[in-house]
Amino acid sequence: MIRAFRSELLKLRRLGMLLGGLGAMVGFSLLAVILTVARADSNGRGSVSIAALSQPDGFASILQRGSDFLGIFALGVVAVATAQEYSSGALRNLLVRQPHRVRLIAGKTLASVAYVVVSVLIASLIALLAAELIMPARHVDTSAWLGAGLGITASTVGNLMLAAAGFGVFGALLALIVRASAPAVIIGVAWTVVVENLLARAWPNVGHWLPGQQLSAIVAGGNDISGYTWALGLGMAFVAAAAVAGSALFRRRDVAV
Amino acid sequence: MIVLEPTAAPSPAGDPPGVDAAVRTRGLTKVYAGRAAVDHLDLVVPRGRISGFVGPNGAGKTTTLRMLLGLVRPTGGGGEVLGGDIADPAAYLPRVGALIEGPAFYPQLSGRANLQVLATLGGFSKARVDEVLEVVDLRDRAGDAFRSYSLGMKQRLGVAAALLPRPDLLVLDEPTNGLDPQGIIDTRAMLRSFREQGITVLVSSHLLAELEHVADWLVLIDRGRLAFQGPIADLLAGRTASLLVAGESAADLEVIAAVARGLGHSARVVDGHVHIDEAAIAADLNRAAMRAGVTLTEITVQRATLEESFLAVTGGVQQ
Repeated sequence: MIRAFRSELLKLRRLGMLLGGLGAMVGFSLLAVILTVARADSNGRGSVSIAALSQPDGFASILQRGSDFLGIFALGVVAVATAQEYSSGALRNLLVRQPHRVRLIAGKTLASVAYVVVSVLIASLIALLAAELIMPARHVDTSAWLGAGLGITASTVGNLMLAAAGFGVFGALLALIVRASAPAVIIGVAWTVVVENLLARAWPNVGHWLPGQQLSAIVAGGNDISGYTWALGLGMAFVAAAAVAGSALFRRRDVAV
Repeated sequence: MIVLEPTAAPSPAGDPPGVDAAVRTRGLTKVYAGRAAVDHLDLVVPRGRISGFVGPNGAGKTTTLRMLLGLVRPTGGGGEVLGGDIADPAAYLPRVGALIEGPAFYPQLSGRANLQVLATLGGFSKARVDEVLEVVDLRDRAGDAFRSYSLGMKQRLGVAAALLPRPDLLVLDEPTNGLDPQGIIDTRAMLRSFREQGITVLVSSHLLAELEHVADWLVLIDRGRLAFQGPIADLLAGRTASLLVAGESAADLEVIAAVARGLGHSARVVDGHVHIDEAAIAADLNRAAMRAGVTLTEITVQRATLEESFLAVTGGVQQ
């Protein structure tokens, strides 16, 4: 599995992937910072007040605003990396060199997930740096973010990384099912953004049991739909189930590409 | 020569006499949606030789190779590769190199990076990557993106990937597909060099002529079933011969054809010649034609090509 992990990292480290994946995550994190600054006002009639941003959880709230995109992006990156093996035909070469299929897919998925998790961390740190530079111009006091709020900021980044890992595993499962990048990403986005949100709004109790809603609740540290502990437990159970289902499917299915 | 009728049962005796098999299957079968792509195939590939695996497009060659490489699960039957059961491909794949259905690599990565991905996965050194690039003469272009390669270069990179594990068995699926004549000649030379190194080579093609000059052993399949397997010399020895005959005038041709039919053989007039299905009657035909008042100006013995022998075995049309 370690060889599969290292082999996948060799593939992922190519310049285009680094610029495309990491660059998009950094770009969107910066956009979240800029939009928050632009819409912040002193009386809170905008989306957020300057006073709220100056609180210890001010930066955490900015990260949470961009979390849905980062999750979807993590799903997309892992889905594309996995499905590419089918579309390029490279999978048959890989399986000749590593016939233990579960080791192969586990190593590859771990590498892809590690890539998106590290990308989320880097994007968060760059967003923090940018916010520290920009916010004082709007009279936002950021001293509490890394002072009294250091724990909140760190745990939010950690939760964001955890959720990205979960979305990544879901992306891998979708890619293994449909064996093509575009359908896997479309299905993942449609389910997460459209289907789950509609179900959760129509029937809040249903949202309590949906996988994407749990990962969103983890980033928020718990929300109206699920408490943090529930979301963490159920969300990770979904992720584990997806990993087992994907491995079983990959192990059994003929490779005819 | 070993010829099995399509409906023949798997041979209980195992390998043909004197053959040390690197690959052998017994009753190997793969059924897709009720249709047998491979149908009770008893295949033998001798060790240390070049074996041609030939059949029309859709005959089941690639499906068979995929089963030997653990990519596709057989519906029935079984087999061994390098002494390992095909139900456990991990037992033998570290000693097998393969190029299946054309070279498939990541288009954005360079040739070298593509090989490094596979070398890392297989536990081979970076130095081995450079060695195989040297073997296929790709070192100068190894840093270029795979997508920029010509078809011939892509094929060579595929062969390089197959050579990474220093294989005892090399499985190459249509390695000359799309190559120009020089590329085909180079590929044949490469196959011979592998044989000289003691590597068993199993190379598939839908064109028998491509393998005629390089293979020692042939396996012919048609519609998923074994049509022939054995030394290529056996297939050549079994070739039939016919006569091509001409007379002094066009009017003589029908007379010659009638004379040949009178001797009990099939004859037809085509393009200024009479084609007769049996070469052994040349002397009798000459005498009979003289008696009929016709002087033969040309008698040529025509041996069936290997392709025609193949078609006679499979009873079909080679694509």
